[in-house]
Amino acid sequence: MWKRKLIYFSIICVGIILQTSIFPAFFSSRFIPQVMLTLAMALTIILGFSGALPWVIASGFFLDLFSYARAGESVIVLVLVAYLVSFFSRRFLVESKGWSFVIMFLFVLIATFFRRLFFYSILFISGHAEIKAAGLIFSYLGSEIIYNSILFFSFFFAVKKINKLPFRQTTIK
Amino acid sequence: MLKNIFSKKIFKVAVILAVCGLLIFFNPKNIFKPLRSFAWSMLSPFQKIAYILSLKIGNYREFIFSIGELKTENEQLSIKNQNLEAQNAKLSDLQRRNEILEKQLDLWTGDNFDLEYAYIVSQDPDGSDSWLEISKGSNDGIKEGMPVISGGGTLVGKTGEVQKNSSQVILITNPQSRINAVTSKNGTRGIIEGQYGLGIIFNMVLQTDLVEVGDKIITSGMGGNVPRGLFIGDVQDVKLTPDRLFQQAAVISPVKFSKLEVISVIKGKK
Repeated sequence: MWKRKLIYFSIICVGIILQTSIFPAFFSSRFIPQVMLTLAMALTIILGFSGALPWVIASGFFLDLFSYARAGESVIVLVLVAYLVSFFSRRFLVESKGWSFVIMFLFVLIATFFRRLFFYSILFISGHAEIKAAGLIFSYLGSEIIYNSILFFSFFFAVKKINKLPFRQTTIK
Repeated sequence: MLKNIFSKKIFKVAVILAVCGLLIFFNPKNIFKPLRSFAWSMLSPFQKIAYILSLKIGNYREFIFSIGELKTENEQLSIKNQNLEAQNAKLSDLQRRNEILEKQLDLWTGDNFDLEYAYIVSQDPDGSDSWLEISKGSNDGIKEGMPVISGGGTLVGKTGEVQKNSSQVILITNPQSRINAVTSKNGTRGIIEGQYGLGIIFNMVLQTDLVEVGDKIITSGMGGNVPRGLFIGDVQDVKLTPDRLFQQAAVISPVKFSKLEVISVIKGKK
C-alpha cells in the first residue's frame, strides 16, 4: 500500500516541477496548462472523492507553497473541483459508458474555466487586478483547455494503471 | 445521525473550505516558511535543471516557428542597428564627459554595483509574469526589497520573500510593484506600476509634464533601494487616467520575463 502512496506522492512532486519550472519556461503565451488541476480531477475519478481527498489537499497545499500563494488558495479550488467532478461523475460517467470521454472532456472544460474565474475574482476583490483585465479570463482559454485535456487523459490512464498494480499488502505480525 | 452527517462529502468539503478560508485570511507565512524551505531544498535541484532544459527547448521551438518571419525581422533590425550606432557614437562622447563630472562630484556611478548573480528556478504558474524564484537567498546576502536587473542594467523587479537559499523576485509587471521613475529625455516623474497580465504603466504623470511615445523610462532613484538610471522600458502609448487628473503611459519592457535564465540582484554599492 505504501508503495502506491509513494508513487502518488512522486507524481505530485513531478506535477509541481512541471507546473512551476517546466511549463512557465516552455509556454511563452498567456496561459500555462494546469497540471495540479488535471491531476486532482484524474485522481477523483479513479479513486473516488474520499480516496482522492488527501492527495487533492496535498497537491493544492504544495502548489501554494511553491507558488508563493497564500496557503489554502489552490486547496479551495482543487477540493471544489474534486467535489463537483465526483458529484457529476457518479451521475453521468457510470450510466453513459460510450460518452464517458466526452463527459470527461466537458469536466476539464468547466474546471479550467472555473479555476480562472476563481483566481480572477480573488484578484479583483483584493484589488490586484482592474476590471479591464476581466477579458483575460477568456484569453487563450481554448488552448488551455486542449492542453489540460491532454494532461488530464495522461494522468487518468497513468493513475488507472497504478491503481491496478498488484502491490502486496504488508502486515505486521 | 451525527455520524451520517460527518461522513457526508459536503461536510468534509465545508470543513476544508472553512480551514482554508481562515488560512487565507490570517496568512500565517512564518508557520509554513520552514516547511517551504525544506520542500524547496528537496525539489530545487530538479527544478533548476528542468527550468533551463525547458527554456532551451521552448526557445528552439519558437525559433522553428519564427523562421518565416526572420527576413522581415532582419530588415527591421538592420535599420534599428544603424540608428543605434549613430546614437551610440553620440552617447559615448556624453559618457566620457559624464565620467569626468561624476569623478569631480564623487557621485555613485551605475557600474559600481555589488551584484549577486542567480539562476531562475521557477516562475508564476499562472503565466501572468508576476514573480520569479531565484536560487540565492539570505545566505548569499540577499534581503527583501533589493532591485533585480537583467543584461546590461534593465530593471526586472525587486526581491520579495527571502529564504535561506532562495528568493522570490516580484516583477515590475506585478500589480503590487510600485517604482519611482522618470523619462530620460525630459525628467518627467511618475510611478511604474504593474498591471495584472496587461504589462506595465507609467502612472501619476502630471498633465503639465511632457511624456511622448518612444520616451525611455528609467528609475528615478527616489525612495527604496532602487538606484537611479536603471532602464525600465519605452513608452508605447499615452492617455489620460479615467479621472482625467493625470497622464498614464503604457510601457514596453525589452525583457521577456518568461524567458529569463540568469538575473543579478543589486546588493548595494561596491
